[in-house]
Amino acid sequence: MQDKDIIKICFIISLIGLIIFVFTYTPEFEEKTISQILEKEGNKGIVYGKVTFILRKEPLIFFIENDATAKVFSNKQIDILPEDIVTIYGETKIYNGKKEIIALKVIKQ
Amino acid sequence: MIILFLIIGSFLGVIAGLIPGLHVNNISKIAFLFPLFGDEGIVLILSMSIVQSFVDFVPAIFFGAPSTDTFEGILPGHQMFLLGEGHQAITLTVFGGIIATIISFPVLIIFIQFLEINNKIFPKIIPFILVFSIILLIFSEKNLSKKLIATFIIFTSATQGLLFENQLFPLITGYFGIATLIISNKKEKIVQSTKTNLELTYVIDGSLGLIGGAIVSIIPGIGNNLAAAIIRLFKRKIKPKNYLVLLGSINTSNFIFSLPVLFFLNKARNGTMIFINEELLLTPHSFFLGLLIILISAGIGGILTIFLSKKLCNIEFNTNKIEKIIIILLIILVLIFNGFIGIIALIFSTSLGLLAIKTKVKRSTCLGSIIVPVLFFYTFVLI
Repeated sequence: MQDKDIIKICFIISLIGLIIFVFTYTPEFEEKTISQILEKEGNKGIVYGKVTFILRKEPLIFFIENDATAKVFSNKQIDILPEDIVTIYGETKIYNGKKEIIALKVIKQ
Repeated sequence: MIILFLIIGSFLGVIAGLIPGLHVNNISKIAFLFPLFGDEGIVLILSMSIVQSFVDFVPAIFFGAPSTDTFEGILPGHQMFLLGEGHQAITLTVFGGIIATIISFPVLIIFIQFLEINNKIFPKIIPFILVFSIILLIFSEKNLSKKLIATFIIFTSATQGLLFENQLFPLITGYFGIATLIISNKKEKIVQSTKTNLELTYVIDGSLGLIGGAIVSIIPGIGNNLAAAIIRLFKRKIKPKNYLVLLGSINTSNFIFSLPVLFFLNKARNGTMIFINEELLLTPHSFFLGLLIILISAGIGGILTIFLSKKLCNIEFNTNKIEKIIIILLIILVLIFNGFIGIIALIFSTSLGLLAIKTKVKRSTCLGSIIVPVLFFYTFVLI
């Protein structure tokens, strides 16, 4: 076996991966503004903003602000303070008639 | 957009792989400085890491400059380079990586289930394997005086490993890099052949490397080179060429397995996975995307590494000059990554590496600096 054969194998491997990718890939979390993610229930996205107010520590409920303000609910504990900049992977859900972001992950910047 | 990030990641992987001593953990630290989100972040960091795991061997073999993942490959690889077979050595590591990629995907789930079940047994077995490795290292030397020197080197390197905590880069750079570069064949110019001949039997070594990669991805404290060294000790008649295939396989399969280990067991075993765990969100969707990116990047990494190796073969190397440049570069890198204490560790490790070369004792004895601290970790910390 020669190096040319290895290159061929490498090319086939990449090609198989690319073909599967092209036919199966749909973006799950895209960067969105707060107003975009809050447009309708079920919207998923990555939003970032400044923590303005922490309502509760357990479970974590806080407000973030960027182009709009949103209430964020997180099951996981994270040590955040007002004025912190956070990135949130989340989904919009309606709770008590109001839209809020259910955070799957909160990352403190 | 994803494809663009794949291209950028592959490009960064090449750059990172070509810079001696730059480990994926260092790159991950750099990645933390950038706002990487979502699928783009996963694609960039994974493509960079996988491509680097292939290109990593180029500076190790062509320049004798190690990284913490490839230093075991320096000795056989650089020896082949000095014989004008550098391209063959690189191709062997690529072959190992590709075999790992092809085989690991079908066996991925079986491996994870197996390791999940045996997860608690491994830490109990590891100390015995490590003690056995040390005994094997000593008794594999031919006569009594060499056995005594090997014992001395193991104890000294173990002391260095325990004393210089978190100084793995300067230690391995000294033992396997600078010591090799100081006493290497002083030919003025080495013409590199681009001829390659790969036997199908190397598939066995590639498959064996898969076991090493799986172990590295799940057991804390065990690195690629330690896994390779242990496999080499147990499979004593392994030839340098087979060993390079094994190393290439371990290097790549470690990354392939570390993604499912993070996803299923929630354990991050390298800098890339720590970055994904802390800065990104791994969902079933992004896990599947990650596997695809690994597959695509492995092919890209293999092609780029062979291409780079061929390009380097066309350059006539003035080894004396290159060796001096590499030594200076390694000292600078140690100073940047490890500071002044790193330089002290480098001086001690180089001296020990030189002692092993001069006395013709196996350089693997310097692995005492890794084996003994890991042994202590498993004996006194984990259990």
